[in-house]
Amino acid sequence: MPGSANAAGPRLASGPGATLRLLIVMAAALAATVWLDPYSVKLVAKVFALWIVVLGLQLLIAHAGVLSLGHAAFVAVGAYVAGALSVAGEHTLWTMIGAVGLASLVAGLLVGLAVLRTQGLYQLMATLAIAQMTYYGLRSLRAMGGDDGFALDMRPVLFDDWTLESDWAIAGAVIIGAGLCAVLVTRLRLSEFGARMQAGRDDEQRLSSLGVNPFGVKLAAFVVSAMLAGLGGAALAHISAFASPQLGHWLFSGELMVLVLLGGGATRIGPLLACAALVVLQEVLSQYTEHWPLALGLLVLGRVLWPTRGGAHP
Amino acid sequence: MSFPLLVEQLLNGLQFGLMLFLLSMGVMLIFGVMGLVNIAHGSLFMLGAYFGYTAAAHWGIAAGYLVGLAGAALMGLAFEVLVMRRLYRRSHLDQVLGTFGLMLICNELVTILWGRTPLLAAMPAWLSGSVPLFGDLRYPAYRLAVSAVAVAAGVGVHLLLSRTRVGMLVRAGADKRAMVEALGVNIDLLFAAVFALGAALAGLAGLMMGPLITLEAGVGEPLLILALAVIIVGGTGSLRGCLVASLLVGVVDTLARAYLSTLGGGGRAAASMAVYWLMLAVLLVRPRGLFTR
Repeated sequence: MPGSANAAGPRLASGPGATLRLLIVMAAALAATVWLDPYSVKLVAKVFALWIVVLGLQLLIAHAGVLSLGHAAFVAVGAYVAGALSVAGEHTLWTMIGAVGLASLVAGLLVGLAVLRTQGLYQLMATLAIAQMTYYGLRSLRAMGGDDGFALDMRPVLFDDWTLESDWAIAGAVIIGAGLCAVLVTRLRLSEFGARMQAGRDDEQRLSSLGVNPFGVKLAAFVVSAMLAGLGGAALAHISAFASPQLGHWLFSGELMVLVLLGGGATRIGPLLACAALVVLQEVLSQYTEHWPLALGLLVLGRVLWPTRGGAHP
Repeated sequence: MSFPLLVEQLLNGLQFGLMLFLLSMGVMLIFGVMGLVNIAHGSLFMLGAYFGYTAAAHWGIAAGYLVGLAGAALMGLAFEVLVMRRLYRRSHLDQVLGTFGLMLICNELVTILWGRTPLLAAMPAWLSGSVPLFGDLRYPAYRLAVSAVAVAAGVGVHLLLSRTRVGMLVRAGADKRAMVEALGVNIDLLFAAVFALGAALAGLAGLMMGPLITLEAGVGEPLLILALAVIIVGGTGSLRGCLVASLLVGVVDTLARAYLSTLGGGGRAAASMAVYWLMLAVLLVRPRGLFTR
């Protein structure tokens, strides 16, 4: 595969500067939610929920060198598990997070075992195939609304009478949760496991000659990114109080990959800006023109044809 | 299920498989010769169908076919010169993302030019009837004609690749690109020609499928995914593998939809998934395709 042996892949921007920037952005977002109207608050929350998903995919693509054109499936799994719990009357936040985490862990493990034997184009197609099956499976779930999806009952409850029912509360929870995920991803990338992932991306043979099983490293990275996608999906479902099979559509998988590309591989903030750009395009630009995907397409094409440094290319 | 119905569904499956063959041939040639994953190939299918629709509405059916075919080939040429050329040496990830962007642009341009209302392309009046096959079984003449066109196109491409000098260069390019370049062949021209050929085949598939489906933006995408499944199942080595895999995918998809769908919700899900199970099984058992040695 051309370009895959590019040893000078993205290096992680870390250190006090990056952490400070991250903290400032989080604090600004939290502060902003206080002043915004409910509609804008939901948009901000959506940006951060998407960020959780993209952080996982960035870890997988840019850092572990694994391709996935099927991550929307994990988003949909997370959204459906969160939705099912909400409809069934189980509203505790921690139960929801545990259930979504477990479900996407199992899903990521199974899918990872199946697709990680393949590489390049074949890996893209294998992940796409599994995502398509998930999509059609969800569409045929009559009990959960079939093609139309279903509305969630109620937002999670933190403690006895402290619910996240208001748009501000859920936005705050998502922003803080996303921040924790960003810290987790950064720690992972700086750890020994992160070094193994990067080594596996750059040269599998060398990694295995060091006595490390590259398949296991990739599988672990795949599971982590699937779990982040599931949690992001649960957040998306609770923000809009709605879950539908469209969350698992392959165009959404493509958009997620686009977000990794636009955000670059080196920073946490890059993907956040990319998510913000996408939500702005989708929600704000669509008020002026229904043809906003044209802008997204031109943006993506331009970014691919004229790459700058810090790209997300494994 | 009765026997005539089975025959009819089998014929539908073969006809759909032949359409997939037209699309997958282009994807395979472009991947095999230039090493490019082209997500925007479904857009060429769509553009061929739309060009054909508009030309047919103005100047008659024959003009529709001509304009659709030429239009798709020219658009393919424009894609190649403006975009694809810069992507050949890039990673598969870049290729997928770049052509994904191109696909979004094409879909939106089609929406801008033709609107969101689904369109129904006309078929030639003399093909609108049905022909008796055997017993009581009658089969739409148009579907038979479409199959015949696909077979003719397949034979044409086979002859082009195996009997002509250009075909020889294409095969050599797929095998040893650097060597062909070193022998002084104008590789830019060759690549552009291969891309235009693939685009024309996709446009042809769009023109043929037009009257059988409704046209809307993004109409080629499900077919493109199936064409990629064909590439996975059949491998990228040979036209024969591509043909067999196309027919297999077409028949499996059609039969699953015809029979499993009658079993209720779970059956419908299983029917939509059938092709992907096939693709996954092949990926796990023979990761380089059934027909790759």
